[in-house]
Formats: sequence, structure tokens, C-alpha cells
Amino acid sequence: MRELAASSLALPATRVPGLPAGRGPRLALARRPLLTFGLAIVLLIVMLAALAPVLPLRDPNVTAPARRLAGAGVNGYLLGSDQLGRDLLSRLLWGARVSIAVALVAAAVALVAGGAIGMLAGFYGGLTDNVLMRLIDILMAFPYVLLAIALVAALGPGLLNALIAIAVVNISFYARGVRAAVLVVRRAAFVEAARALGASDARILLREVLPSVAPPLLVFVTLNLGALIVETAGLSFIGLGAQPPTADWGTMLADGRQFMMTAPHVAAIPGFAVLALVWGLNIVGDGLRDMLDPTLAHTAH
Amino acid sequence: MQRYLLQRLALVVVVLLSVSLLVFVVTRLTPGDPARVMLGPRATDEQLAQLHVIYGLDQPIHVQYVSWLGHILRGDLGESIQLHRPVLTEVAERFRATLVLAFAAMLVAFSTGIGVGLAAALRANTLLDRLLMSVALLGISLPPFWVGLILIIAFSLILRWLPATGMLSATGDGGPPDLLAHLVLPTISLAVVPLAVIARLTRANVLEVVNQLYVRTARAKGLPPLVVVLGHIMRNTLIGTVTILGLEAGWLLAGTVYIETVFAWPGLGSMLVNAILQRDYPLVQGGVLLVAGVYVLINLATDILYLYLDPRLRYA
Repeated sequence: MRELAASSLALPATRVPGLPAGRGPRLALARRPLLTFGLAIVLLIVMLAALAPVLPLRDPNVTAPARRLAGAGVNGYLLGSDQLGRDLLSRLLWGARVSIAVALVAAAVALVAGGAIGMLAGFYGGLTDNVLMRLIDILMAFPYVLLAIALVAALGPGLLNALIAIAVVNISFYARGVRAAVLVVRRAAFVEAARALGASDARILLREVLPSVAPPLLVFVTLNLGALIVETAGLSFIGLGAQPPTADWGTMLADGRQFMMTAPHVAAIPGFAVLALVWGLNIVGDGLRDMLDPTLAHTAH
Repeated sequence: MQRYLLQRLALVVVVLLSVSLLVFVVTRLTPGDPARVMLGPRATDEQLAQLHVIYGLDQPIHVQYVSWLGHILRGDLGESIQLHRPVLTEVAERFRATLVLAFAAMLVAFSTGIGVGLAAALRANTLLDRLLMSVALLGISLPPFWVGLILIIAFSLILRWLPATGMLSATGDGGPPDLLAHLVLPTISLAVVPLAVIARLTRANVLEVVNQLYVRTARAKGLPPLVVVLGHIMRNTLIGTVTILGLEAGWLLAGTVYIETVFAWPGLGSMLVNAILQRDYPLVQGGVLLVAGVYVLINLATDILYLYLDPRLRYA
């Protein structure tokens, strides 16, 4: 995400030139093994998380003090148990539901709010643009982790408040990205044509501008989701996110931190989960970006 | 150009004022009464009221803000409720520790990141390039606090090579070797993500200029490869590098929040987390204000550097 901001968000606002007409998605995937691999990781984790209630797992919150800090494979714990004897595999999958849900909702909120600001600023320009973007500048004047922490501090620790904080912090990134993309198309012939036909501003924005900025936005969301997952885990890790007994990947890391000496796997496993999911999302984001911008792909791979 | 600079400075003032307002409002929204936190659950209403008067907590909120702002402009950040010492002293001490860590991480991230990115770009589409970029992609996906935990497990608990927490040993002489030993693991944890980001962006920036005609000309007229790389290629990626420098510097300052928590590093980040959990308003305000102020100044410095590096901007 930071990387996207750094590359000045000159997202290509063209209509999927990487996919010539007549070629299905299957061929596109077959020619991109890395993208397929990333997609597979993400889908696997999302599916396991979605299926957690029907999988034969122990209750993630049932404690068994006699079998605490079991190693992987011991006592029927596939990934071992934590300091209260809770099944790590079960907590990992149930925790995935929390982490993924928070990241998705936060991304949706930031996308809608930031996207609306960016579209209005980019489309109308002038005073509207100036006022909206100066507000965004102020929001960006805060180092974003700090702003999230300050907001959570104000609202009180908790998963919902962490979600709000993370969404607010990411609005500025979407606003800037969408504005840059809108600036590219707002003088395009198809926008002029729609205006000449007498279409209203709202119609032009939603039916002409939005579809043409959607593909680069998809790349943006994919790469941003990874950052959101890390941010959510981070807030939970320092005690400002999910509260016990709710398991999310961040609180699991915090739990494991206290037993690094005797049971390092308790801290290691949730971190691997975060890494795998974020890695998968980043691979997919990179792959999609290359598909959308063949010139970049040519130099990049 | 002067007009641009004046506009830019005016924006800095507006942003700093907004930041101060935001910090103030946000910390006042915090649930929980700091007086109650200080005095404990058995405090009487009279004791609470007395403390409210001492800290001005009984005044209307806009009065509190104006008086608070006035004090800040005079260099008085108030007194920490929990530590009973001036916020400015505490924050300055903590900031020094954070600067040491952030600077070390920045040094590692930039020197290694630019090197890796350049190597990958000059060998674009080879096995080396692919390997480096795959590792970089993995690198940007790492949760920094988890990297810290793994490093502690490996190098402090299992191998016992390096200390796990703190900035200086309680028993040691506190000399540079002691500081360095404590610095290694937090620096790596903090640097790893920016390093990967910088490597990827440097590669992209270099690839943008490497096929330009002036680079071909420089090569064709027989300049040594090193001169071409440094004088023609790297020189023209400087703008991009400065952009990253500004962004990463800000991120490093904030990223220390997690890393300092993991390594019990006595910096601003760990101080802020503690202050938030203790509801120490003055300390939270002072700390956030300082970090945000430094961040704003880094952004200003970045913009001025652009003017210096790119003559076209000076006449725009």
C-alpha cells in the first residue's frame, strides 16, 4: 500500500488491455503460474476459514489446563495447544474468520468513502478538489499507524473500534488513488460523448467514470487487503484490537509471545498464517497489475 | 518558486494546528477518567474533584484546548499524570531512543534495498532478478512484530547470541558495543519491510531510465560501467528515491510502536502504548504531537529536496 502511494498512483485507467477479446480467464491464468499460485493460497485460506464451523475441530475457546502448550501432533492437537490448552489449529481457523472479516469490512468502508472523495475531487476539480484533497493531506499528515492507535485509544480497545480506525486511516490512500485515475479519464471522449447526450453528472460518474477506474482499483484493493490484515493483527497484538477470549491472529501472537521460551510454536504459527495470506494477496495484486498494464509487465517480468 | 514555498509553509502550519486539535479531541474522547486511574478505585469524589481542578479537567473543553495550545507554543507540554515529570523531558528522552532505532533501520533499509533493487534491475529477467524479487515480495508480506518474535526466539533464546530486550544492559558499561548488540534484532525487524519496498521501487525506477537514449549514448561513448550506473542511471532515479525516503521515514517512526513493544525498547512507541493503556492524556498528546510534527517536517524537507533535485519544478 505504501508502495502504491510511492509510485504516485499513476494507475493505468484503461479497459483491461492485457486481455485481448476472445481469450477466457482460464488461458490468462495458465499463462501466469505465479498469479495462479497466489490465488490458490488465498482461496485455500479463505475456504478453510469459511468452513471452520463444519470442520471436525475442537471448540476454539475450550480450555484444557492439563494439556497446555502441547507441541504439534501431541495429544491429538494437530498444531499443538496454547497456554490454556486450547487447540491452536481450531483457534487459527476461527481467528482467520475474524482477521479476514475485519480486513474486508475495513477495506469496503475505506473504498466507498475514499473512492467517493477521490471521484468527486477528480471529476469536479477546482475548489471541490482543493478542499477535499487538503482534508486528505491533513489525514495523511499523521503517520498512519499512529493515527489508528490514537483513534483506538479514543474509542477504547476492541475489534469494532480497531476496524473503524483502520478504515479511517486508509480512506486517504483510496481517495488519492481514485482521484489520480479519474483525472486520466475525465476528459476522455466517452465522457464527453455521454455529456453531449445529456447525461447527468451522477450518471456519468457511475456509468462512465466508475467502470473505467474499476480495474486499477481492483489491484489497489488486493494489495491494500494484505496491509489491512497486518494492521489489524498489529493492533490486536499490542492489545488494542480483539479482546479475549476472541481469537484473531494478532491476539494469538500476543499470547504466544509470553511463552516464546517454552513453546515457540505458539507464537510462530499465527505469524505464518498472516504471512501466507498477505503473501498470496500480494502475488495476486502484482499479477493483476501486470495484466492491466502490459508495458509495465514487459519491463517487470 | 517562492510562492510555492510560502504555500507549502502555510500548509505546514494548518496541518500542525489540525493535528493538535485532532490529538486534543481524540485524547479527550477516551473513555475512563485519568483522575480515577491515578487514585485507584477507592478514591472519594472529593479527591477526584480536587485532582480535576489541579489538571484543569473541570474546565469546558474549548477552554482546555486553548490553554493547552498556549502552553505548547511556550514549550510547556504539561506534566505526565503517571510519571509525575514534565512531558517534554520524558518525550525528549524517549525520542532519542526512537531516533537511534529508526535511523539504524533506515540506514540498513536504504543501503541494502537500493543495492538489491539495482542489482535486480541491471540483471533484469535473469534468475538473480527473479530470486531477489520473489524474496522482496515475501519481504513486503512480513508482519514486522512477528519477525521480531522469531528473531528473539532464534538469536536470543535458542542461540543466546544477542539480548532480547532493552537498549542497554543494566549491569554493562553502556558503551557502544553494548548498544550495538541490543540494536541488531530490533533494527532488522524494523528494516525488513521497508527494505523490500525500497528494493522493488528502486528496481522499477532503474528500469524506467535504463533504456533511455542518454544511457545508451553514455555506454556507446565508452564510459566505465560504474560511471554510467552512478552518474547517469542512479542520478535520474533520485527523485523516486527521495519520495520513498519521505514515506519510509514516516512509516519507520510509526512502525517503532510495534517493534519497541516487542523488544521493550525505551522509545516513543512503547511509551505511547503504555500512556494510552494508562490514560495518561498529557503524555499521549505530547508524544503524538511530536511524532506528527516530525513527520510533517520530513514531508516538507522532501518537497524542498524535489526542488533542488529537479530544476524543472523550480520554474513550474
